[in-house]
Amino acid sequence: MATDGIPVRAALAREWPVSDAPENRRGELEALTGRRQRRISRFTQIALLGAVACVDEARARPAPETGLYMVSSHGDVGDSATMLETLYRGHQPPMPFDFINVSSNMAGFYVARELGLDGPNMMLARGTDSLVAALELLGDDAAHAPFLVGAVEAASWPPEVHRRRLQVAAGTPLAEASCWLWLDPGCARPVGHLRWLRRVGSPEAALQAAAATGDGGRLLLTLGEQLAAAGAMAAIPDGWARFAPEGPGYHEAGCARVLCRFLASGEPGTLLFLERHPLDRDYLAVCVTNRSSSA
Amino acid sequence: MAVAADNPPAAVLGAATWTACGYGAAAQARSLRQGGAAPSTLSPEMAPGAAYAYHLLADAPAGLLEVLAPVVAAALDDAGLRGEARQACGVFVGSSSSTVAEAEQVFRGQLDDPAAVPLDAPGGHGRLPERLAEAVGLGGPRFYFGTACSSSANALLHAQRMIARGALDHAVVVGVERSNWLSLFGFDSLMLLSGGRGRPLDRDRDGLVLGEGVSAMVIGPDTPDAPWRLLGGASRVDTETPTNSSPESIAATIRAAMAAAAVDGDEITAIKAHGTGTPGNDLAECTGLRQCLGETLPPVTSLKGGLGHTMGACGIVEIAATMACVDAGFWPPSAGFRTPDPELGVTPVAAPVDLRHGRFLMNFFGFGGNNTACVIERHGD
Repeated sequence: MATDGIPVRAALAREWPVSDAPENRRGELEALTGRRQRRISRFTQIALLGAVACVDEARARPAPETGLYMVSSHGDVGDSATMLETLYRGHQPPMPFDFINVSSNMAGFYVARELGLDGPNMMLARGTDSLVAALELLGDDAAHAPFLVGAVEAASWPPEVHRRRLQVAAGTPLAEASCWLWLDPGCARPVGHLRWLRRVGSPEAALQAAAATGDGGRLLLTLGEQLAAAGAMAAIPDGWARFAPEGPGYHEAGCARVLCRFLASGEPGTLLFLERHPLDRDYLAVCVTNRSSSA
Repeated sequence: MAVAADNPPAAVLGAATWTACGYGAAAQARSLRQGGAAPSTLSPEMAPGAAYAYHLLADAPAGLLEVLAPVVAAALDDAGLRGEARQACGVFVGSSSSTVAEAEQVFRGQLDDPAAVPLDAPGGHGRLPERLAEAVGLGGPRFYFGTACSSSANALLHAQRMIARGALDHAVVVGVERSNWLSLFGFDSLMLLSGGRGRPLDRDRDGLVLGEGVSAMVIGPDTPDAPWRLLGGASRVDTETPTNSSPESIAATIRAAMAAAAVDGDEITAIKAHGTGTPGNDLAECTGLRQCLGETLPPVTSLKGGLGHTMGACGIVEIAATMACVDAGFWPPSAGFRTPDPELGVTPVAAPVDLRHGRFLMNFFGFGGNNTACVIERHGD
């Protein structure tokens, strides 16, 4: 990754609490885009709400060749489950547009169309923290070309089934999310920088590297779900504070919430996101700095 | 924008494949030389009296991982990847239906329970590479690609990119698609299924026939010892319609792929078309090919008449099958082809063509406007 990091032109985290019944976002989306979006799924509505709002934050339009990398752990799981139920219990085939809309990359198609993009449209996933997977995949490519990277997680109903799917305790508040980063090496006034993403042998090595990266402000640390669940780093190192922004509920874009909220906050400082999957030998570390400390 | 522009080539170090044509490279070559596998006929329980063609894996276990893990392990063995190198190998999985086949198996067993719902299990798309890595003993970075029928082709280009910038030494790239009713009835609802055997690029083509396929390919930094190399490729989105790519966007993708591979049009030895066999897709692809490469094309083939359309797996499945055929000394005929279609302006090869090396254009297109193309090369012996 480039030494100075990759400028982030805009960052935004949209989240909605999950209630007893799905709320249609059509009106909200129409207000945002100024036109009616026809024949799109709720999942695509959510993707569009985040992506368009993120771009609007920058008061600029992405270049057509901007790459679109969307991640989602479960994609449009609600509509997929409904179609399977209808097929197996009701012996009814999927309706054509319903089938098209559950294609994993269809939300990206509509985002690309709304924003006038013709570069790559990728849909990725990796267990939890899929956003980090996208950033790892892009690596230094984002230092040379613009990318819009988003994490989109939609719920399905009833919520208790979705909780089982997400392996969270009964009664845990759930949320939907559409969190986006606009990485743009050509941006002169970024809100912050993606400084580096690397695999490191120990948390200490990551902390040391992150502390040396920033040039002012607070040092903030967020552990990924796997590390947190393992009880790692129960004691916060001296000079560091935990960064754990409140959200309306649980979704699998927790890492995206943290990175986007920090970058959008304007708070001077350096944020280190640290995770380690049981399959991995090394720790995966992401370091971002916001405008004040990375200018 | 090319995904993999200016990258050094990646060497193909090993592969393993299981399709309706059989298990292994020799089976692919043997079958495709003679026109590929005939599809099986399925009669789904929820559509009494209906019959659908589907290219199925013969004698395969039902479980997704039970098929996937041995194929990936075989590819790693073929590449000679052991110890530390194997442990650090990245995993790139491309699929369209992901774990839907598994979810259907589970739900089919729960239908007596009115409270049961489909997909009521932990995980998600991203868990598939995790489970695979765990089963095969891989500890490198893991990625799932869900870009419809270009999924595993995109996985391959991104694996090449990570190797090119030194972020990985090796990657195993996987295309996987198992039969499932949701895909079958979904394509049926779109009226895209053939009434019989698929006839890509034929005047009488009437749709696609789905296929199962599980293929894995191990790539690494370029080496003079490797007979096969991935030179480069590109992926672009066409936002005209969600299901059909335009000839212009196809041509733009092919141009970008050739630029990324540093190959001119007249250096392309043969073309593996995406060639689904639907009237519209084949017409758009052939028009795009002619716009890009001119009216006189090198030998063109579609493998989907012999393998079926393996959806998100078709990238790795069809590259592996192409490699098997060229290694066996021929360019495969376009299975199911009988009669040229003047409107296409492209006549695919109807019989095997002697061919042992060259640079091959490989096209893959998918729903969501995903257009991907790449160029692979086999050295002359």
